[in-house]
Amino acid sequence: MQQVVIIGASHGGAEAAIALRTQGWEGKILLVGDEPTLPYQRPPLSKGYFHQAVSDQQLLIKKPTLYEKAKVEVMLGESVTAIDKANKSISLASGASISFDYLIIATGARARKLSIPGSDLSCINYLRTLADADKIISQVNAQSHLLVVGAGYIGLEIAASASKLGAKVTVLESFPRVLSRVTNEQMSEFYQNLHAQHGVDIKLNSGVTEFRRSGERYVAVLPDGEELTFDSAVIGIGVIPNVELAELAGLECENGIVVDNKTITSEPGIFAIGDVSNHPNPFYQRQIRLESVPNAMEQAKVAAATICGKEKTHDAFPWFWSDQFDVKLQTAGLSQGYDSTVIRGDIAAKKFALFYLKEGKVIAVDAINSPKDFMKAKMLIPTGISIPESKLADTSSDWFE
Amino acid sequence: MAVVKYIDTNDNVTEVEMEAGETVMSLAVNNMVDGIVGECGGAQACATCHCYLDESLSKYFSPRSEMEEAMLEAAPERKESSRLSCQLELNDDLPDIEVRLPASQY
Repeated sequence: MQQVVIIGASHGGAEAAIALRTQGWEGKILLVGDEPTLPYQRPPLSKGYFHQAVSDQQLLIKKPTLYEKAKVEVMLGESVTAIDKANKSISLASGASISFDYLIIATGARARKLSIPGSDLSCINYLRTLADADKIISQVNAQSHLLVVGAGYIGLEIAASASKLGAKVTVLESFPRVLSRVTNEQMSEFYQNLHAQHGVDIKLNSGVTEFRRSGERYVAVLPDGEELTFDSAVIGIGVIPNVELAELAGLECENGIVVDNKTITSEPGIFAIGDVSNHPNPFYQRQIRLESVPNAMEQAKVAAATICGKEKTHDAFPWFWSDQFDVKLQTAGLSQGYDSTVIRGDIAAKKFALFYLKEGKVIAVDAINSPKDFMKAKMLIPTGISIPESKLADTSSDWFE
Repeated sequence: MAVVKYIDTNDNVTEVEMEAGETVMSLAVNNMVDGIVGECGGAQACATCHCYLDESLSKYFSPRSEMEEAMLEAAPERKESSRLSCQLELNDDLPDIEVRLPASQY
């Protein structure tokens, strides 16, 4: 019997396993993951799960019984050590070798590590897995001081959630503004104000040069020599795609595993999906790598359909969301390369949309508590829309009419 | 045991036994029902679990929140009876529930 092996049991891997069955795959399906738990949703780890609105049972992407129903064999707590593309097999850390007819690599990404004196202390955390989240949560309470290094989405979401639990929170960011990689100055300022209103102390143009123990607590040394006493820290300075297996196997890699619009790697029969894949985007007309759950799910369906001999290409438009305090951000598209921006709505009322344009064309939108603008943008931007800036800004009528 | 009937645009019905603690969205996802995607896992961020719930059944569920209302407002194939199925929580006291699914989620 033919077998599809999936390496990586998270959003992409779980979706691919089930999609293979629903698309009609009759052979075996093996899902291998190195964590001890069934695939779970990662986005709530910094949000609902962190501030205890979501339980660990609710985190599961699919219920345990579904894998049985779909006849998916799940191998947990097992690491893959090598891919042999010539012999179409993988090697496991436990020593076994497993052959495949098709292979889907869904190994995701890992947190980028900080390497400074004291960065290996037990109070220094990264957030990627459920185990990471449980460890951080156990260190955060109303009496504790949490230090967050890096003001990206993960860092800011953790800051908001910890603040909700009553903890004192300080965020250190090396750039002059938060979210500098993904938003414009106005949006950065909006988030800086939002956090300040909730008592989160954000230090810009800052960072940390050393951590050390100080009795029961810890001290962080800032670049200007200031010393901050804290109880635990979370570092959120980006991720690195887990390409090592693919690289060793000789698959083409560049900022991820390079795939085509069917998620096929440089080796026919081997697919790569999710955060680890560097794939073509038809709208932006370049290769991109996304750190995104919807993208992983979409690519999983494309890989499954392709393996089942069906015609399906990956052309989904990128989108993201972030929940912090009472603010829901929904982003459609990638803003890199914009040459002008337009605000629609009321920043002070925390209800507005920020449009990013390039040569008169809308290329992305950040919608703050404005789901309608987000939904319309997600549908319309991929079709190529040029809308006068005055119309985008005018809230007396719909911009998309 | 009560069931949820998922009805697609061609009137094909998929019947799934209800489970308390699930939502109409998660029950579909866990039983391989086509037509409910649930990309965001219930965070009211994507509207890919859009369904139609008959007025007569709406009393069994909490009303739309402001966020759900706003998401639905811009969803494809919006109707009076539109709901996000991730917000329809199931419990042991419910009768059989029927939802229809929009064509755009297939």
